[in-house]
Amino acid sequence: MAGAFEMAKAQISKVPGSGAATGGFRQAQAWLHTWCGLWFSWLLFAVFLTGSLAVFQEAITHWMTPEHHAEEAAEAAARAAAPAGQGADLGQRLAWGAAYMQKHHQGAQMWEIWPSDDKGGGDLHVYWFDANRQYADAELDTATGEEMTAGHGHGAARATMGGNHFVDFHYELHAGQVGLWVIGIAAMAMLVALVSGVITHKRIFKDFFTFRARKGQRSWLDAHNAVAVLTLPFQFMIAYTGIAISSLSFMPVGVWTVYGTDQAARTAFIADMTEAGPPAPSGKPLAVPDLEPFARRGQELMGQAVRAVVVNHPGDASARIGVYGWNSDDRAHQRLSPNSGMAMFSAATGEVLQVRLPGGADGGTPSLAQAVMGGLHMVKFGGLAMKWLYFLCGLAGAAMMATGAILFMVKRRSRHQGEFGSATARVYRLIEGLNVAAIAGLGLGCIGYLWANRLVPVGLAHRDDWELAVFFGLWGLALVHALACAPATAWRQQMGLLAMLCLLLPLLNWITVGEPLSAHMLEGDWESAGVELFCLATGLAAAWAWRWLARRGAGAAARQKAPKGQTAVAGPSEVQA
Amino acid sequence: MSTLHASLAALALAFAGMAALAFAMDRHYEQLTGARELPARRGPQLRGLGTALLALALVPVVSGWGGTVGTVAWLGFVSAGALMAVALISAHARWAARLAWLAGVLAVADLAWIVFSFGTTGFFR
Amino acid sequence: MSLSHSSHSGQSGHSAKPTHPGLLVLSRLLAAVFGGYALASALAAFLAAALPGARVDAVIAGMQWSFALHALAVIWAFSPVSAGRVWLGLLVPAALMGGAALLLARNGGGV
Repeated sequence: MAGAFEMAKAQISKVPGSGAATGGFRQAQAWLHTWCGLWFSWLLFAVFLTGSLAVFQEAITHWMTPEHHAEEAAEAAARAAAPAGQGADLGQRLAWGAAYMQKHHQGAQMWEIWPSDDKGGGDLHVYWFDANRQYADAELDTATGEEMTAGHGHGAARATMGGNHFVDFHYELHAGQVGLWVIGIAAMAMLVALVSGVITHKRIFKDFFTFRARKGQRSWLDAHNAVAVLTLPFQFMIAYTGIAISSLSFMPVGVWTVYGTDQAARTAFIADMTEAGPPAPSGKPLAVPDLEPFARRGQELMGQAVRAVVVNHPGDASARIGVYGWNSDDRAHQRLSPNSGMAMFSAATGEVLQVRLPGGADGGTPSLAQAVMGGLHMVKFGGLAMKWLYFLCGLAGAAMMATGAILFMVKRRSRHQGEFGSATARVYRLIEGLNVAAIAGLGLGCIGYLWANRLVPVGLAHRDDWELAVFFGLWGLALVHALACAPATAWRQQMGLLAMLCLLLPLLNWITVGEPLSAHMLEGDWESAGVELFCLATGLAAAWAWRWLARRGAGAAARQKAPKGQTAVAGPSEVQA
Repeated sequence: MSTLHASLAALALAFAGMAALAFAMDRHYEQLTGARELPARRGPQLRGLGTALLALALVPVVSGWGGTVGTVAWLGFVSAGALMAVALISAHARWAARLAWLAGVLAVADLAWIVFSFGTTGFFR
Repeated sequence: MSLSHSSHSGQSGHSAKPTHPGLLVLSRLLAAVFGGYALASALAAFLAAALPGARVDAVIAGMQWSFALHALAVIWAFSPVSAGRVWLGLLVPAALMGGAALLLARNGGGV
């Protein structure tokens, strides 16, 4: 019995699962880091790539709606010509908003009027809660105060999700609460991988600046360590704040314990979080007063231009009027909390009930911390430079996942470790395929999304769904391709295609919209230029990767004896890799 | 300080500081000079210089973004500078060192010029 | 290297058949995920009920700290302690804190 056991142990294939929590603490954490990291690496790569793109969602949306450019330019010119700020128009717009609500939505317990942008121009919107307690809205014409029907006034811009697709995908995979939870679990796994990674990395200071190129597995490990350790504060912060933003979804038990488990309890908690507790309606009628004086006073108290005016319990004597500000004041980029200024008044007496200065929080430290965490995650502070830093660190995070997943297989190509017993080879093959699809394939999906934006006919119904279909469809095809072809081939071909699609994007834009890249730059349209320039840079990187893979592949083929006795393959193998 | 100016200064100082810290280690000093070990006092000198440059990077970030956001920005620039240092040192250690010198000198000179022209309040115009 | 697999179940590798390591890993995984979540929830509930000040702030603070605890629980669950000890180490504090939370909420808090 003992002899047989020894023989079994001597076999290369180990029993699946051996290795967890064995050896010392560090060794156990290395096991945890490897497996926790690997299984979530593909999803987290997608989260980080789309999250990084989401930093520049407005620029991407701008590129994806070329019909808007002329309109936006005209509006900017008009604003420059008459920089009156929120002038006489403010009172008129608020009056129209109130009149509309009074006429069409008598029973609404809350009116929310967004009169204009921070310069006094832009759209006029009104919001309320409909019969199903859902947010409803209407847009009013800024010239007449009449409701505008859908699509009116914005020209024939193509329907598209624009950059918002990347935002949505990033935090909920376009899948609502289920998607949110999947991402939340992945984010928690990332925290575990980060902590276990730091514990495992014995020489974290000695190897801080180490990167040894062209050394195979060691290079991949160095790269993985470099992108991870050098951006470590960012990685911890972004993972944690990402979870914390959706705290109420992931950890409702605190609300259940202290407020209750029903819908009213949840509403009460949210109300406590967002402002001073709402008053109960008194039952005594009181006409909604003229809103303009309240807005002006609020503006003075907050120090910000008026973003929204909210009336709670309109028509009742207990009505409150809340005035909210635009975070476009000079010091906005120096605040971490994205909360805008707010001033709350009693409609009946006009007295000031509450003032919140910009950046403050309605509650104590935890409430402020919550607001700050939201601001930190979505980089609502610091302006363009911070966005670029987040973009860089986000891509570093994506690289951290990608190098980790690739390292896993590079290690095992030379030394089969038998973690899955007899099925190990098949599992390795699957992982190789998933690596290609998750990394190169997702890239194809993203660039394909931009191509679809230019190629799907503008007038087609549900064209935004078609754009999404191309994103997911290309990604799915990449997966099939990666599982069908040998991994090396799949990598090379997908990288080649990625390079082509990225490098040709500016040309596609020129052909379909009529504007070359140089035109963007000359016009000062740096958002569109930025999108195309970044695609070019990505294309160059993908082309470099394609060439590196092609050389390696040719080298490997040359080392094997060809069937008919021919030796070296001509071409790239002659070049020193 | 405008945020563009602050960004360039912070990035230059972070890169220079990180490069100095790197070359204070035997293995990277070897990449630079071929000598297997740093001479006796060079290590602590480079470490001190690197730390000082990183600390100095706080000046432009706080000037450009205030205290709270500035701290977050500083961490970001330090990470960016470290990534630059690793990439350049591994590609070509000598050129990395030259670039680090240039960046450090320019940034320090820039900050010194502001102090001499406007005093320390010059950072808060 | 000794004959022991990851099973710290106390059985020698020679005489009796050791618990399949795969099952032990699964046990740890379930403990880490669900036991860890239970512990984190218990902390969130406890802080919500026990922290002084406005209850909205107590609830928010509870949520914020709970995620850190869950991550650490997973780390600990995969350290070299037996799977049985992992389950106890997560569920017992969870029960204690959860119980305390309910008591506090019923009596003291609930404002």
